[in-house]
Amino acid sequence: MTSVSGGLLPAAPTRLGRMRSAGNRVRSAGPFSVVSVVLGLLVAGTIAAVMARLGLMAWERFGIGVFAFYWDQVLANPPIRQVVINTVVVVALACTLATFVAAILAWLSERTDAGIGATGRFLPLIPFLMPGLAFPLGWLFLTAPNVGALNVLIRGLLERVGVNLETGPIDLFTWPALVFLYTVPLIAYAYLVISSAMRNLDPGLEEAAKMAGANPPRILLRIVLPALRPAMISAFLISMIPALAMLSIPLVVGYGADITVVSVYILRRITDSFPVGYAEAFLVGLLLVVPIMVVWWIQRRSAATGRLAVIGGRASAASRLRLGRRWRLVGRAVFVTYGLFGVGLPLFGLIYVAGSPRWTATWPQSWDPIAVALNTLNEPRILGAFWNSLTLGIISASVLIVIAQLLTFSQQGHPRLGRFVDALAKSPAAIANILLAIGVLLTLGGPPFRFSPGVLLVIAYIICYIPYASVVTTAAQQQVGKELIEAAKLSGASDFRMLGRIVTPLTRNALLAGLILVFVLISGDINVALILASGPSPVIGSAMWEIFEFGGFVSVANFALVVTLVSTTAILTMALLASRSGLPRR
Amino acid sequence: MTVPIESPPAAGPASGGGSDAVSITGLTKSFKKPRSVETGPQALSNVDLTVRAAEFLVLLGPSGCGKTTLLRSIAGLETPDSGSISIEGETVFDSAASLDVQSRMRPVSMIFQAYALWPHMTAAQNVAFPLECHHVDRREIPERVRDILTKVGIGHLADRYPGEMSGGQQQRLALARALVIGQRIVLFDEPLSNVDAQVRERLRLELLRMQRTLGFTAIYVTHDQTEAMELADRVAVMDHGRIAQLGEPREMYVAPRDIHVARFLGQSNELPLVVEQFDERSCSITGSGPLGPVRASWLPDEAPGLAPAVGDEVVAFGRLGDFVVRPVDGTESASVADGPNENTWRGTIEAIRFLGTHTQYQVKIGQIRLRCWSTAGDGWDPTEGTSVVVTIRVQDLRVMRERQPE
Repeated sequence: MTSVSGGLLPAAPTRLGRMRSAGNRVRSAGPFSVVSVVLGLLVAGTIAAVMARLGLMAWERFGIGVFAFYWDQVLANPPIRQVVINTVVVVALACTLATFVAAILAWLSERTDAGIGATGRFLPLIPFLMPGLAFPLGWLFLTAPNVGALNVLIRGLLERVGVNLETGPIDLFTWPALVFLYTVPLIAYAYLVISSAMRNLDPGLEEAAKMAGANPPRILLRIVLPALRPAMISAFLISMIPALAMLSIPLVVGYGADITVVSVYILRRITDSFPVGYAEAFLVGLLLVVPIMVVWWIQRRSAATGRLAVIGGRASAASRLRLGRRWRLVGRAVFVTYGLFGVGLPLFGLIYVAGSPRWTATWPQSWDPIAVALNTLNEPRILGAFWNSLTLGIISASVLIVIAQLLTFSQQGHPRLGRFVDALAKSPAAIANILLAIGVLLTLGGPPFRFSPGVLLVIAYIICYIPYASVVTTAAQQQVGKELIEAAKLSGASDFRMLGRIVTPLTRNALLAGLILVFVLISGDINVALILASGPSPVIGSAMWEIFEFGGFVSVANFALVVTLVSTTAILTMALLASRSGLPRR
Repeated sequence: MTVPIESPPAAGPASGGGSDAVSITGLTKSFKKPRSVETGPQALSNVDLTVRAAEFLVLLGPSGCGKTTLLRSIAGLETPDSGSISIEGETVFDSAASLDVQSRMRPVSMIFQAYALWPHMTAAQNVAFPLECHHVDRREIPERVRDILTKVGIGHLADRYPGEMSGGQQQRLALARALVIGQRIVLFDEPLSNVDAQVRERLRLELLRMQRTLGFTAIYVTHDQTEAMELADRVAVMDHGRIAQLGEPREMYVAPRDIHVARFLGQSNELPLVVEQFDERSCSITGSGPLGPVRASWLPDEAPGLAPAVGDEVVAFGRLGDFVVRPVDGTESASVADGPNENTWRGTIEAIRFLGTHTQYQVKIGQIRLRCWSTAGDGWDPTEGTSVVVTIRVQDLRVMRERQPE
């Protein structure tokens, strides 16, 4: 046997020497733990303070009678009971559909030869290009029963064959239309989670199924989707959060369809009633905690089984499943249909109204969108709103992703504390954003803090959107194999170094995708904007709302069109960056 | 449970002598059942083990026997419930002293099942990372990286990413990363389990050569007994969280002390017997079983106080290569337990498999089937259905007790 001294290894006296002299050679709280605990407490403390403020309002109003409120004014009150049922039905249907469609799109794009290159990857992000009110307004301009462009067009064609209709034939103000409009933007949220998991799924699973004689739909339904169950549940959760807080679609469509959901009820209690029903709005909004927590618990259980597709330490070449000509055409048709529903048709609706002198049931005689758009942009208040949204969006999104990445990673060292902070970080998702904005205003806008509107906006954005960032970073870090972290640990890396050199580079794509998601959400937000940015420094959401209320449809269509162009530029730039940061593969 | 403390630990009494690389005493570990306060079965049960410097020790056992938990406890990736671990004379874990040195401070490296090479770093960056973590002078790093990559034979691949390397090159890179900081103890967690048989054999030889050349201590976990036999200076066979037997591969194969070890190392025929006579002087047992009377040997020194008594149920083990198959010549009388024809049975060949280095016969004797290996090239070429005689020497048929469930 070769002796130690006779070996060719580099000298190693330093290690033992360092061990003997090192003060922190035993397990103890290092600087990373201190930083993450302080940060976790800061975030959790702010969220807790805001929620406590809202709770205090409810307590001051009802006291111990808070439980009686749920019985008398919710369960035994048919209109409010109906509001809760409406919300549950529309959210459950839309999230299920969105998760399923997102999985199909992600599979086609990432794992099959039906993918249409970079365009295919970009397609599911398209709904983010039409922020806030732009998307439902586009569909409203297109399919309003009387004056919708598509209805006008169809009625004109039917007239030629002798069929005369007064309204329709398409009616936006119905249940199916509401579920459809909810579903389309939610697909994008679900897609972001599923696609990154799909990218790392062992291609051998699909190939084995193909060899066993399965056709593409069977491979997708029986092999791929069950294998990605944890990612599907994460996708359902992340799409449920915006679905519950959705305000723009139910505001535009729900009123005409006489379907009220919780978010609209809260808005009405705050804006249309006197005295303002903060307490009632908060207590009804609190009911949304239940479904969020149920799905979150399922997600944790699912992640704990460890049956996730992870990035191993041994890279392999990924191969795409060949669908054959017929199925490839079907796959491409799915992309095109989604593109049309997600952006093509609503954009057409916006362009149609934006260029017209006014929105009527007949085709306009003149049509010039560029002139009207330039006029809109020349308005200093609108220009200011753009810049404010851009700056605040970038700052808030960057801060959010950094915080979420750090807090998620800290769960490795402090699992119990980490779980607690994780739960608190996700808890704002259960509260309607508009209520959180009020909480921030009441808690931090007054004495002793008296923060400026800009700071209040950033804090409100962080609180409202940290659940998204947290879900994104959790899903991203679950993709990194445990052994890669342990190898770094045994190499002597500190927690900061592991996060900076191993975890963050390996999750770079997902983090950039998360940054895009959060930025677009913030720039398209109307919930926070209506409470905190309706004064002299508006943001896009509040400015668009003002025009919608006072300026008429043509102006709002123009504004939405310009906002869509700006969002497109931002997202294209970031998506390009994300696509270039892939790991070198064999 | 071990409580983290701040005070610097001293070398404990468990610290081994100068030539011990790792010394483990009374190590116990249980895992909690998920989402429950109850603990599951013990992953490690009072394990004592000493690993000598520069030896190649293999921890061998089936899934769930505790071998990986033991390895991860040495690395500091698991915290045992009790016991102590010393590495190169330095106590790194001692439950009594509430001492638990962080994994990054322990003088060991580890090579993982899938190598855990960081895919976003080149080979050179992978190797440089531990040096950076140990604050080695930046000017020294390129030279040390080049040096270790050259020593493991992939100096020309420094700029390649792991995804651009073959399995063998990835293994060398993992080894270079493990050794670059000067660690003399390398832990291997089944690094060859995902590799095909031919490559595995080549990588094993390479690994052994590098261990001999570079002179590090290797602690290697595997469930593959061939791999263990080929690599190990010593093998520790693990079972239900304890070390069932520790010794050199030949000694373990020839004289397993435990029924679990006998079953795990090499293929055997097992004959259940009821003891009819036990001759303490010659250490031989006569018993009866499905093949009739059988005579087998007993090694008293390896199981003191457990000598079989008349009427006990035991198992007789014989390695497949120790059973001899020959043509029927009419002189033997079947089923006798003494005299010249003891342990000799008549049967019929049911199946013949040529396995390269030897031929395996499956012989049916009454309702019992025995597998026997033959390497003889004496021109005898039986076919399936041929009547044969199977025999085994008394000293090759070892009696052991079936272990009682714990």
